Amino acid sequence: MDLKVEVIRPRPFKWIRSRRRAVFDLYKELIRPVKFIARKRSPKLVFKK
Amino acid sequence: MEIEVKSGITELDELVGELVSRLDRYTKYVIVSGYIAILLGMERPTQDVDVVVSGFKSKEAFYEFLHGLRELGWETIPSNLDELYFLLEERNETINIFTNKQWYFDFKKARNKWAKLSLENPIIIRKENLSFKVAPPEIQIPYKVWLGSDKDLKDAAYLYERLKPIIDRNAMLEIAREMGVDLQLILGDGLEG
Repeated sequence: MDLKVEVIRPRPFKWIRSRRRAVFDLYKELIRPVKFIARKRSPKLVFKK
Repeated sequence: MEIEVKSGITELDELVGELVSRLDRYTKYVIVSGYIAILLGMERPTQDVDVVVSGFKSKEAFYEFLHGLRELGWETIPSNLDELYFLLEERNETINIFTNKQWYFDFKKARNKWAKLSLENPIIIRKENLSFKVAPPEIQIPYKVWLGSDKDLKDAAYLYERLKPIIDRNAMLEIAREMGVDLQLILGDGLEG
């Protein structure tokens, strides 16, 4: 029987740091400008219950 | 919940308003696409508006609805009424409704749990004399993140920032967990500064 053995190792510190960096870069380039525009350059909304 | 947008209506708003005012007479509906962000004030191009419906009471009601649109010069793909009804009601497939401008509607029946929940819990957005039922942000935001393109992530961020005062954060996080998506990017937790 062909059994695949997978070794699970803790992720190296460098990988974790680079993932965090990637998320932050995506936030900075994609999300943060949109949020700014949503807050400061969009028409007023009136919420009614 | 109702939201009034303090801005003028656009040509696209008028076309969507035309469709949904007619649709209201025949079926429950909810708008589920990026058009929600546009309606709330986001400046970005689109050509299609996604509309989910609960279903028409009868074939006759569906034909009456479509005849009304054809009188406006709108068209459908496919063009045959029987085929359209079969695809929408029996096969749960998307049909296209083309306005007399460059915008069109992707029109489908609620298929999954999230679409059905959106139909039952719409929020109302008003703009001048027009009124639109749209999917609740607690579902729409995680769904956009699940779709995952840059455009969808931007829409999700815009919706979150605009509708933050009325969003049930716990409900949204629970829905995100069920969909298997992480909202950290949209919420910005630990990313500001």
